[in-house]
Amino acid sequence: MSIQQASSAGGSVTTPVIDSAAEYSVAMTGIRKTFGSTVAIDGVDLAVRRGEIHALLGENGAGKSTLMSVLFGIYKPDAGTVMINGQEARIRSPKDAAGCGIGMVHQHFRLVSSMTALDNIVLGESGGAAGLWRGAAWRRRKSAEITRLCEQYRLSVPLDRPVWQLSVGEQQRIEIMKTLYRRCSVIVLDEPTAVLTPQEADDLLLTLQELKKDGKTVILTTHKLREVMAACDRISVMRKGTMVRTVRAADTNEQQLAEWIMGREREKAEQTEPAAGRRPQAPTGEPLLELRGVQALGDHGELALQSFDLTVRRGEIVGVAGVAGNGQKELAEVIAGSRPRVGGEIRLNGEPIQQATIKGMTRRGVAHVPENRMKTGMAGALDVVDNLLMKSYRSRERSAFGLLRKKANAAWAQSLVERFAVRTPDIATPVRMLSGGNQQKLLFARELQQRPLLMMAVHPTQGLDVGAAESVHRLLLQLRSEGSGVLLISEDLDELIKLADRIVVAFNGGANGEFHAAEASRASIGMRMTGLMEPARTGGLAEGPIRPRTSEGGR
Amino acid sequence: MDFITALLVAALSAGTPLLFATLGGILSERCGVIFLGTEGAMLMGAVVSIMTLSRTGSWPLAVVMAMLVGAAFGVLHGVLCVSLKANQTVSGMAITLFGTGLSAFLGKPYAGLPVPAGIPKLNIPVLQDVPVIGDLFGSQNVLVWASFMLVIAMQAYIYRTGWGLKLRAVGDSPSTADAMGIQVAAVRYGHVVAGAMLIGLSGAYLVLVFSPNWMEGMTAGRGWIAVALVIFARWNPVRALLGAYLFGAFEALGYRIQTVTDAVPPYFLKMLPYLITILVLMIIGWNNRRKPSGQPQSLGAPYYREQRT
Repeated sequence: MSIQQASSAGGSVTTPVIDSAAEYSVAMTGIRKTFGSTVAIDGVDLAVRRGEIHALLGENGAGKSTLMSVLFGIYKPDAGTVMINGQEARIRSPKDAAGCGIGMVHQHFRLVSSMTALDNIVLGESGGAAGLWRGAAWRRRKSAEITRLCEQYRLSVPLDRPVWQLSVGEQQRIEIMKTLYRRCSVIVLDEPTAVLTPQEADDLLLTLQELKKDGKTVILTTHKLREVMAACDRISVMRKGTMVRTVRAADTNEQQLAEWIMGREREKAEQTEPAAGRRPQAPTGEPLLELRGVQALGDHGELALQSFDLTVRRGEIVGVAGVAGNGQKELAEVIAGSRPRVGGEIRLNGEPIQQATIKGMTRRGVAHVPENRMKTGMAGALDVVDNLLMKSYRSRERSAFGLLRKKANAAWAQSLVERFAVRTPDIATPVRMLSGGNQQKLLFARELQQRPLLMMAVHPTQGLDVGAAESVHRLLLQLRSEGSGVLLISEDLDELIKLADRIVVAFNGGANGEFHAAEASRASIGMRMTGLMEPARTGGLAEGPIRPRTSEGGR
Repeated sequence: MDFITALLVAALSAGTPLLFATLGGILSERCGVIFLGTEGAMLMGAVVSIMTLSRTGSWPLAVVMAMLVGAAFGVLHGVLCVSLKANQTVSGMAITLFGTGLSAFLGKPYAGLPVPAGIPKLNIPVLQDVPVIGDLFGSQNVLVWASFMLVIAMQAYIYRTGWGLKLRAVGDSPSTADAMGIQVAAVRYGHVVAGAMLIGLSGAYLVLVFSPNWMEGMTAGRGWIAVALVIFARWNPVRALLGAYLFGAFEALGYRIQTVTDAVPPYFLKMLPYLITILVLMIIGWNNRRKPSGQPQSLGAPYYREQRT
């Protein structure tokens, strides 16, 4: 994997000049970090002024999280120095980082889910002999102290419930409380809005302003331009492991930022935009997959799917939108046959499915690109051929008398690799070594080999760069034009609006409204996603704040 | 003493070594390290304590030595599983096999010799005269009282102290603990070693109190029962107490039935506790199929800070 030197279309690379060191609460220079042979970031400089909200902007894989993990002592950099408040700091562990007053809200929360919010917040506090015994009186005292802090920053956090029962937004507020409780002066938030509803994201941005008002320094990594322009003072743009430039938010605009983020590839991506646009008329194909009142239990025994209705016809792409945790995962698993259905009915091609099994659904022509491709999609340590064989090894062409046809399979795998343009050193390479985009292409190659009637793709472009995402989109569009049905479950609204003929919004385990492509807009879908608008009463907006969704429904 | 009282007394006596070993296992597993070396560490604790006692005649020294040899096994397990990040199951099995072999070798000269002077009992004047309770607690061994104290202390430690909070955090989510500035490796080493010390202690009880002479392989699978009891107790010291006495009772029942009737073959009775282990695990699995098991979520997983998710 090579590092492309940052050279944007308009002008030379500017690195922030550190004039008076004390002005900056964080100054990182020449940071380099490699993982094995992959260079994640190289020669990166970042300077953050005291008391500002500083955005670190870039695509997935641009190195934002890596840089922040270096700052927080999770990764040891191969080269480079870190200055905190004008003094060189040696940050070798998160403990050192905390000692420098740096707190971090990770993208994947660092919370102990079986413990209460209170326990999570005070965790790691060395109270000495006096703080050792933690009886009822101690809890009351701490609870009062944290509640005061919550009020000061206008954060609402339920302190006495175990974390796993709380919504994502609440969990994030606990993470922020952790940094405040430890009196961190620099607060790093890694992709904080990725998991939030639009409303929750707005609340978060308000919270950040509160933090700034209190004199905290906030660093925020994101790839969403809107937020950056709305909330940040200065912006640093990263691309492919290098720092492109740092600018004041007032001196730039979204268009310019997008160019810096994408570099030259943006133009390339636009040129290769698939010609197959959306078809103008509503699809009239016969129903392929029909779900009526389907119910299923979640991991904790709660009713995660509550009467879900959905139809996918031949030759259409149906998108399922929704904030994570509103039943999409369970929906996909029920259709794939890996999660038992407890109510309702499923028909495939008009034929009722009694109890779906994974093998049965595969035989009936359901292909599945799962949410976490390296967890349930492919075996990372096995090579390209073995992973391609996983669904077809039983067929005559692939094996004889229970023995795999080695030569024929190798040739077959090679042809698939070429046809789907998978970039791999050779077909004996473990798929773990491939990039995310190539893994996904390989997974599609395997699933499309089954000539599926129905393709179910869950977050198919998550974590992929622009080019790979485009290839995935093209594959889905091609499936549609060949007359297959596609069920696309995604959190990326732009992707859904671009591809889907119809969009169904999942909320609280049910379908909360349906949009045809022509009438779909971010705002209207967003309102359904948050439950602000429900189909029963479409007369106007429901008033009052959004109630956070909790996962304790069925317990 | 009637049958029931005698059974209860025997259950208490047979349950105590299981209790020590289970508490040791809980300490280790709470921080996320599976300890399957229980059987081996118990045998080593037993043989070292009998060696010490017959040479020096000092039972406190014998108990301390048993705990030290347990600690040594804990350090070994810690080096393998925490520092070198080896597979915890394999390391535990190796410790069991190693301990079994070494204890048989060391214990050869002491096999069958009677234990000189056992651990004193604690006579409590008034309590002794109360009917059933007097039989149970009136004149009980010091180590049994120590095990009661230990249950209370551990329950308070795990759920009521800042250290216990750190322990639970490390077992559930080491990356979270690390991000909060807790030294994951240190916490794991500390608790694995402390747990192994308790397991060594259970070996000492077995040979000094329960059946006072050394026999090769005298634990007879009690280490494995303790491993199962950790799960039965769902990593909770008070439930460990209940579980240990329940199994102690089944073990005692086997002996008692033999004295009453010979209709049941003795081999079947010896099998009883192990059969019960399997049954109990099945019942627990069924009852908790919808519930979180209480298992520390990172149990068995070594922690790498730089691992990418």
